[in-house]
Amino acid sequence: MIRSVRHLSTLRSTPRVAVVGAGPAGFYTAHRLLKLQPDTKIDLFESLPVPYGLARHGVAPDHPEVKNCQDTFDEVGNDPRVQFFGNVTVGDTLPVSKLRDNYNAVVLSYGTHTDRKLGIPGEDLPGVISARTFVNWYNGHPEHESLNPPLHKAETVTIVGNGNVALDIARILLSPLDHLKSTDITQQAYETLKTSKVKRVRIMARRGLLESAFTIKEIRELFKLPDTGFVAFPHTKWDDVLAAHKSYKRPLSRIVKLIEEYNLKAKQRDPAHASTLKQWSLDYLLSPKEVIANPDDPELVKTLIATENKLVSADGSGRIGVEPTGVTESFDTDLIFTSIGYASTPLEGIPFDDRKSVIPSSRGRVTDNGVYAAGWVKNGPTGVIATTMADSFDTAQAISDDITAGKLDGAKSGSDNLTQYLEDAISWDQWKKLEAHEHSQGDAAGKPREKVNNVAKMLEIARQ
Amino acid sequence: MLRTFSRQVLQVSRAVPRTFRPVAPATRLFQTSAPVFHGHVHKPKPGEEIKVTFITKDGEQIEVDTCEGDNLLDIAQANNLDMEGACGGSCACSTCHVIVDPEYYDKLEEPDDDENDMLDLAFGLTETSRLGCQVCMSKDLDGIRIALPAMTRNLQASDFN
Ligand SMILES: Cc1cc2nc3c(=O)[nH]c(=O)nc-3n(C[C@H](O)[C@H](O)[C@H](O)COP(=O)(O)OP(=O)(O)OC[C@H]3O[C@@H](n4cnc5c(N)ncnc54)[C@H](O)[C@@H]3O)c2cc1C
Ligand SMILES: NC(=O)c1ccc[n+]([C@@H]2O[C@H](COP(=O)([O-])OP(=O)(O)OC[C@H]3O[C@@H](n4cnc5c(N)ncnc54)[C@H](OP(=O)(O)O)[C@@H]3O)[C@@H](O)[C@H]2O)c1
Ligand code: FES
Repeated sequence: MIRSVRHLSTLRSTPRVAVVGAGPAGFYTAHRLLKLQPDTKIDLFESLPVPYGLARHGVAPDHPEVKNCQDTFDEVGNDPRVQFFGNVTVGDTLPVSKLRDNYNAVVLSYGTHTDRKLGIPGEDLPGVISARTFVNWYNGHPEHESLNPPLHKAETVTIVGNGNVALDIARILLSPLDHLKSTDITQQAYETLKTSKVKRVRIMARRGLLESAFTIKEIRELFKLPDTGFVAFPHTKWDDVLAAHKSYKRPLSRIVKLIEEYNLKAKQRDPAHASTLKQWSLDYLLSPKEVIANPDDPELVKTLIATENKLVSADGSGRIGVEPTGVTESFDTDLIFTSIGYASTPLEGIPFDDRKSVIPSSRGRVTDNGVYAAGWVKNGPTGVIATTMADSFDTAQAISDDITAGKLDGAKSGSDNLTQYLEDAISWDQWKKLEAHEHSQGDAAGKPREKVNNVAKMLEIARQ
Repeated sequence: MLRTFSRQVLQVSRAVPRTFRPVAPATRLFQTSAPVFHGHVHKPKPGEEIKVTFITKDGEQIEVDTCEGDNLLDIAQANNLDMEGACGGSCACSTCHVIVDPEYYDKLEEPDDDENDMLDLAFGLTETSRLGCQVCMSKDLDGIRIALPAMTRNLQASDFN
């Protein structure tokens, strides 16, 4: 019996798998699939000349340890069963239908490419900057190399949303420069931050403290920043939270305890000393309603008008929601960062759920004939790398099960049949050449790498 | 105690399709004969081995000899067990989450704030959860049993579409 199974599997042609997007989801799906189905050949298509997705262009420069996942990604990239094609945008340079024709399985792991919107008047003013744009800029994503945010004339900044991305932005704005100097933040961003006048950062959330989207490590980091002061909560609302907190589960009760500790410290701080610090606050139960332009400076805004909310649990889902109280408040602010989530975009011919902005799937299966999804484009723009990894392993398992069940049979030629679309592609070796350049530029400046943040330059160096 | 611990392990791995689910996990004791000492682990001197039994998500028990000072992530990886260490052991990702036999849990040094902060993000956190990269072997841990939770998340809404 065992013998005949072996015999069959040697007859079966090598499964060819295309992965669209070389971020954590693409790499972890490939990594797992190679373990589960060792005779698979995988082609990895990435729209930028450089791999790693948000592990390069999202994760904050002062969190280098998080980027160690790139070691595993490099193992995948170096594997002889894997071919990397950078600088190839699926749906543009390379039609997705060609992938479906030439591969046994196509994995869509292309992440997010745009922003969730607040949908309020004034949101499109230049002084309202999306988190994704700002993060891309300081992390050297070529799409936003020229953002140049006017930090040199902004004293007060409001960040809308209180997820970890909002906290990353707050930390970058509030950190002493020597925390950033030897990180891989771009030189350009570092020079701009040197001129920053930001003294007050408000982190505004539409729900309450117990619904905060940040996690404990990130809020602890903010509390611990030198030369900054947390602005204590006004008494009333805080007491309600304290009264309730004992009954919460471990992660939340640890967060509440931490905030309680630092809130107390903030209350006890000598006001004369407090006035010398950069200030930041957590503002709750506020939904932005309108942004008022600054008549004197089109690069800045003047006021954010927000509606006060109260918490409700009306929709039956168990999720705590909000209802406006009818009271509005005005906040003077020079810049606004909207950090309410990244968003995915559809790919022609592939099902897409516009409301959730994800590719709908069942454990990663988008169709029953070889199309799969993984990562943020499958689940929406939440989850840390560990979540994305676990999710990608699920998708890899689904592909492997389908290969084993013979659902994806058929001889396919993969990229061998696509050369006309891949003439400008960057290979893994070329990327490594570019990376060596980034490392050597970084060495000279005492940082891990100096990212090249322009596609033309990337291509030139990679092809030298 | 051994019994309840195994049961807890089975609960942890409920979400995983198991191809060869052992009837009685305790009977499937494997000794890895010649572990490959690659990476960051050391070969214990004869007579100084500290024994660790890993219980995989499939209920398999794998006993390995370890050296004082080595951490559970490195040990698991050196023995080709299914444990990712996405952040390379720097306490920044929670992918090395393990569940420690309650009998041994108190013998470990207490987790610090950094480890607790990351543990709060681990899937299926239990009372005796730890991060493998932060637990180093010492003599009094000889015989410790460590369960590797399934590296899958809970089902999500998108799974039912
Ligand atoms: C600002 C920020 C900071 C974060 N910090 C942390 C952190 O500190 N710790 C942590 O654990 N997690 C962090 N995360 C979460 C983590 O980055 C995500 O879980 C993970 O990157 C999602 O992976 P993905 O592969 O689904 O998407 P992505 O990382 O976005 O990868 C998608 C890839 O697809 C490519 N692509 C897009 N369109 C196409 C196309 N048409 N054709 C070919 N390729 C395409 C993109 O260029 C990109 O490389 C952070 C996220 C953000 C936004
Ligand atoms: N260091 C790290 O580990 C790290 C760093 C960065 C990012 N990440 C991860 O990456 C993921 C994405 O982070 P994120 O911060 O972009 O997303 P997030 O955690 O989902 O937070 C989004 C925030 O935007 C708010 N929001 C959404 N729509 C809104 C609207 N219409 N009006 C007002 N507020 C709105 C949310 O409020 P509601 O809760 O009320 O919806 C929430 O506060 C997260 O899983 C995060 O943990 C991790
Ligand atoms: S390997 Fe990342 S926390 Fe242990």
